[in-house]
Amino acid sequence: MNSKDNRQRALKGYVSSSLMGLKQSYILVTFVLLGLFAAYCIVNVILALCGAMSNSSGGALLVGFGVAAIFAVVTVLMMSAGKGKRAAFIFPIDRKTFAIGSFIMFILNSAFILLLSAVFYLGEVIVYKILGLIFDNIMYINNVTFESYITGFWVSLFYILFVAAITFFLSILFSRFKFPAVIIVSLAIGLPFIFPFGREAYYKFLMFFIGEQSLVLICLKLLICSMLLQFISYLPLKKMEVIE
Amino acid sequence: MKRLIIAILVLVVVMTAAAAVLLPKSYTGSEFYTKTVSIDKTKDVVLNFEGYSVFVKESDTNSVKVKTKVMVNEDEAKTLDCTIAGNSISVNNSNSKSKNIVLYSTWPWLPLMQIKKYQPAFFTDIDANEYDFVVEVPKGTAVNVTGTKIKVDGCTVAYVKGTSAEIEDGILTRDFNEDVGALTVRDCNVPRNIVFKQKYGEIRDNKIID
Repeated sequence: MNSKDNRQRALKGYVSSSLMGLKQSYILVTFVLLGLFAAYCIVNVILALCGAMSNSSGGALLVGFGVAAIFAVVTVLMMSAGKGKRAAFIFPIDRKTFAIGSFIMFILNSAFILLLSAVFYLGEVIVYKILGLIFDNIMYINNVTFESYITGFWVSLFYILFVAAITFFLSILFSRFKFPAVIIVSLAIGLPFIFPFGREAYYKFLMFFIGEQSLVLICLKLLICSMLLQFISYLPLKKMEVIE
Repeated sequence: MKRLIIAILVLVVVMTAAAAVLLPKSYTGSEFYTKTVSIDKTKDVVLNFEGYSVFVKESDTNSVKVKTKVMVNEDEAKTLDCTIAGNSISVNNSNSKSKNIVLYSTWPWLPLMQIKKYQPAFFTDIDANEYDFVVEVPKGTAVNVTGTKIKVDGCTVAYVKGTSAEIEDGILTRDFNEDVGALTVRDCNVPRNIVFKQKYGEIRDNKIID
């Protein structure tokens, strides 16, 4: 068996064990999303039955994205900070396996939560459609089209991936260089705010992502930046691995 | 691992199929419904929206555009609609209560909000969100408005009737009349002969014309 096969097996093993390790978290998030979805539907149904003229809903997609982003950040911190990282570096997991495995984990985590939100949203649509059929005076208007539903899923996934990559990068940096890294990063983030050109640079940086109107370009930008951050995070990992 | 990947793929396929069935292919409507009405520009436009708030503004077109808060397809009942008779546009009350509760699914995925195409209408159209009716009238055509809360921006105004009215950057006709609880007239051309009857509101920064 050559080293490539070994690495593949190690990667597979690392991703599988990480996914199994997060089983409880997945169950928790599923229940949180289910609870939010149920509460949202119940509130809207009560409001509608009480005669409120209009109720804006569609919360499953909005809330789902928020929950997925938070979950991604928490998972990344758990995986990359202190104990989680030390537990990961057990033979045959080396830094390359850890970096690639983490990236695969980010994608799977985010996709899972977003898929759950997407399923709950369809549940929401079914509930409102049924309400519209039962009650003559209720009209259901759905502004979320099939196109926006599918494209939104991918854009959301890339955004969460990007957020996860930033968190991973900072987490690795802080755990590798400790206090000096905290000071340098804080100064690098805080100092530009004092100067007008710094504020403008921040604005331009933000607009580079949130100002983009093309779906393809925004996905490409987010994906490239995420991969770049993942690669930069890989460099400080060099002296952290246990070589056996 | 293999089973997990297969399960996710099956979920994606089922979900996509369900979404294709349940979700509209294109926007069947939005919170707002627009109706374009041809009028005789030489006569006053009468806008009778009693019981509803209305925002009137000027446009460069030759027709009147009425935007109502609730839109539906042509073949569905409407919660708000208007009828047209010559230059007179009024609320169609006979149809207004047929479906009086509206449930919206407005919010797409959050990141899509950065793309104008996918933003909910109330996000971009603030006027239409605040008022029950938004009416665009051709430049120079005098309007005669009845409603509860009225705002007129940049039009020629002949008559207003309502609880409150705000006229801005407009021109009042020589025979202007009002029956309003609180009237605000700002930055308008006001003929010298006009005497305002209102108790509340403000009349300021206007240009008096002979």
